[in-house]
Order: sequence, then structure tokens, then C-alpha cells
Amino acid sequence: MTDGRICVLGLETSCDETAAAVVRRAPDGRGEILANVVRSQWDEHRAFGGVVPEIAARAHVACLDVLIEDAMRQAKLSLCQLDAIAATTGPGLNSGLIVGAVTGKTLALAHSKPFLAINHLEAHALTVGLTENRRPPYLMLLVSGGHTQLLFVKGVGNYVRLGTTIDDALGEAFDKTAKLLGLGFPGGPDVAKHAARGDGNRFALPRPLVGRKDAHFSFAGLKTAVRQLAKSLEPIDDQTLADICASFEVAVTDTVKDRVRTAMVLSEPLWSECSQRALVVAGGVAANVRLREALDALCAETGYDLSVPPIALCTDNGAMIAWAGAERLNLGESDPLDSLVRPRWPLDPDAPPAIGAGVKA
Amino acid sequence: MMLMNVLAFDTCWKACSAAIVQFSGDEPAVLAHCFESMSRGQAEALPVMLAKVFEHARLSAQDINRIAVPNGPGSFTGVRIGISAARALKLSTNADLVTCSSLHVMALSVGRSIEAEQQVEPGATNDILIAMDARRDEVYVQEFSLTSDGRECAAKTEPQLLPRSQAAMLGAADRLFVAGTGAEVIAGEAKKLGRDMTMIAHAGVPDALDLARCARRLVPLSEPLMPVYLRPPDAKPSTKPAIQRTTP
Repeated sequence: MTDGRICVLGLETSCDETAAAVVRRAPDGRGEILANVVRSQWDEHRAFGGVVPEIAARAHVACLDVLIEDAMRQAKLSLCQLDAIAATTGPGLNSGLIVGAVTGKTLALAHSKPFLAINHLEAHALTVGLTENRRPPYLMLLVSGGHTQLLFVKGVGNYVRLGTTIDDALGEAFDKTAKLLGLGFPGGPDVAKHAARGDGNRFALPRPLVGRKDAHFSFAGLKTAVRQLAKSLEPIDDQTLADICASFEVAVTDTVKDRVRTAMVLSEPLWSECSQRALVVAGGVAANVRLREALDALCAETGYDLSVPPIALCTDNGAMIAWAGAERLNLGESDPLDSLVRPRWPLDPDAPPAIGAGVKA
Repeated sequence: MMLMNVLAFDTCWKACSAAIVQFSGDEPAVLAHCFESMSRGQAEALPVMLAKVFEHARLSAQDINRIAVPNGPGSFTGVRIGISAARALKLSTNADLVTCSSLHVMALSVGRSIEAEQQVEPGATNDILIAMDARRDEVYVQEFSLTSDGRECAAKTEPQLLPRSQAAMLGAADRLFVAGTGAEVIAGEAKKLGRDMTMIAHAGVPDALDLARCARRLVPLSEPLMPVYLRPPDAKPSTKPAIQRTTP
């Protein structure tokens, strides 16, 4: 576009959502979503109780081009009117990432446009720029099925990782709890539904890593504790099921609140003195009401602004990929056609490894 | 005769290749061709290779009239790389799309070497089996027949995934040739059954140039291009919830 506005197509295929979106960025940094098309694969994965990488990749390749067509139609643009094409190239499931990356690169090649290889975590981290024009610095809590991180966002491309999970992601803990209890997939909405009519104080579940001076997470032990608890109560009636879900949610909420509070302390030296402290939440678990209320209370207590993008932009989507692409293109960046797909791609390569962490961290 | 520019590429097996040929009649002129053996890295290699063949041919994507890509079988990821690129190009150009199996692409070059070695038996039927190792004692296999002059190679069956022992029973021609990474095993199994299969030395991977050369004859797809995997994903449905519930 000649008026300084840039239009970017974003593709997302890193897990179990296939997505294509078009965003426009104005010269003053404001963003606008022209199209945002997402196809979830829950039906394909439900029988397996979790995301099966090969099934995900097969679903991506079968529909990504159709989604791109839909997005372009909604945006009322043709591909040659775009300023750049962006695709998630990591972190995530390799076989799915490849579908989006090859599609994005080929589109860029066919139209002689710049290609942007987008870090999925960075896209989550920058989404509030698109939704409410919030600019860094801010503290970021990312809680999804694949990731659980606390990041300090200094600017585009400039992140300090304050905490990560050393085992399961928080969304994964919800999924596994749901699977254990015979509830649906993904687990978050179902666990929350039962928790809403349960007594969260009936069972004492562990709050992993609470009180530790770092801001890391661990949910594997909590998952085991839920299993042992439920086993000990077999066969469980509806109220017990609700009470287990509620107790799990309360344990998770207490844990996350403590970890975020710790990250707030750790981030203090990173803020400039007068800047307003802000916490941004993203990832599918941001939809959890109990967690949201706890973070609200924490932010009220600590004087932080709380920003949570609309849930459709908290879960995986193409708009955040397009937006990260637009932000990077605006800085004059682009990536070569042979840029690597990176199933593991830490946003902050300088972060010291979390003690006890496996390779996923 | 209208010019037809064909872009073909392949990433199904342990190679990455791309070619642009131009048909002014039935005879193709090769404008650009790249081939690289690789066991991985096709996702990164293919877009760069496509850029390279466009540059060599001094054409842009918009000059392409036909896109040709094998739909499988092969490594699942490899098959998807080619199909993702083909679908993206289809979205971006007015070109039509043609496909055939990766085994068919190999059969074309195997047929040529049989002819070159003058192994075609005149007056007899000559069949080619392309067999690719699929691990777990299985092969991806497809049957082709050669015309008596050895110039044409037509698929007799769809590609299949078969146990090795069963693949060794395929083919009913007077003369049976076998090629591909599963050829040696299949020929050995066949021998045990008293059947004679002639092994033809072959790189064991398709080359997009063979596909480009025959692309003019292929019928453009009217349906979306879908991968042919022949094998379901490795995943078992999760069994029973671990916790027993009281029946309401």
C-alpha cells in the first residue's frame, strides 16, 4: 500500500488450529483485522484425548488453501495486493509447521513479496498491540495447551523470559485432568463447567513450586495428585467430580497467581521507573474465569493494568501471526526462503535453563 | 500450437527436485532443472529450488500454465511439502494442476532405462513394478505396463501398501521388471516363489523432470489436490477413562 499502511497475510499451523488472517497496520502503529479465519481440529483429535501430530498435519494440508481464499475474500484483497506473507515457523509440531511455512514461502515467492518466519510465542506476546494498541514494555503470561511462560516484553524482538514450565503446559494439565475424569477435549471448558458447581476447598491438592524465588511452573505432579485423589474415591459421583474439578482449578489458580506475583518482583529492575506496570495474558487458558478473577485481584493489589485480548485472539489464530509479521516488516525485517522450521524456538535464547526442566522448556 | 510452460516438483522421497519445461508441440524443451538428494530438509530446500528454476528459465510464477506434483506415496511430511507448495501456487496463478503417483514418476525413468538397455522383449508383455520400502515388512508398490516399443509406461493399478510377500506375487506379464528401494527384497521374495523378476538399477527416488516431460498428457484436476498416504496415522484412540464414575 502506498499510503504507508501495510497489509500482511498470516498463517498458523503449529498445533491443532489451521488459521489464515489478514491485518492492516497504519503508520501510527494501529492495527486492524481485515479477516480472521480459524478451523479447529478438535473433532479429529477428540478420540485420542490429545493432539496427534500426524492427524493435525493431515488436516492442515487439506484446508489451509481454502482458509487463505476465505480470508482474502473477506479482506476484499487479492494476494498481489499484500505487502508481505507471514507464517508461524516455530515453536510447535514440526509436521504442521512445515505445511504453513511451505505454503507461506511459496505464496511469497509467487508474488515476489517478503516472507516473515514468525515465532508463535512472539505473536502471542504482541497481540495486544493489535487489539488495544498497547506497546511494550509489559509483563506477559502465556498459558496455552503447548506453552506456559512468563515473559517481560521490552519491544518487538526483545524478550526476557522470567519463567517457563519445567514439564506440562497449563492447558495440557487441564486436558489430562479432563481425560482422566472422562470429560471432553479440549479439557479447559469442560473442567471449568464442572468446577463451577463444585467446592474448590474440599480437596487439598499441591501448589507446585509456590513460594520459590524463580517464576517457573510445574504441573506434572499436580496431574498425578489428581489421579491419585480420583482413584482413591472411585467410583466418583457427580458432586465429587465437580469438587475435584473445582479443587484442581483452585490449586492451579493459586499457583499461577503466586508465580505471576514472583515474576512481578523479578521484573522490577526491567521497568523504567515511571512506566505504568501492565500484565498481558494470552493463550487458551486465559478463558478460564477463576484464573481471570485471580489475576484481576492480583493486578488490583499490585497496581498493574491487566490486558486480556478477546478470547478468539488469545487462542491460536492467524491474526496474531499477521500482526507480528506487520510489526517486523515495519522495522524493515524479512526472512529468507530457506529459513528453518523450528519446533523448539525459545523467544529469549539467553534465558538460563529452568532447573529440573526437560527439553521442552 | 500454444506454448505450455510446465512447472513440476517433487519432495516425496529422499530428494528434492524441480523442473520447468516448455511444450510448443508434444516435444518438451527443458528450460530449467534442479535435483538434490537429501533425506531431510525438503521444506527449506523446495522454495529456494523453485526460485532457482524460475530464474534459470527466466520465467515468473505467473508464466506457468501447468503445475505438476506427485500426490504420494512417500514420507508423509515429504508428500505434504509438495502438495502445500502446489496448492499455494494454484492459489497464486491461473495454472492448472496435474498429478500422478510418485511411483509413476519413477516408472517413467525405469521404462526409459529398460528401453535403452534393449531389454524390452518384442511381442511379449512387459510389466514394471515400482516397490518402495515402507518399513514394517511392507512396501508401497504399483504395477505399470510398457508398450512393446518401451516408449510408453501406463499404470495398471493404483499404488498400494502391501506386505512384501504379497507384493512378490504381483504382475502377470511375460517379462517382469522391478525397481525402487524395495526392489531387492521383492525380487528375493519372488524368487522363493519360483518367479523371475529382473531388477533395474534406479536412484530410488523420483525426479520432477520425468513428471514435467509427461505432464502435457495428464488431465487437469477438477477436485482439490489431496495427498495419498496409503497408511493411517500412528495413533491409537485413547481407551476408557481411567476413573470409574457412579452410574447416574
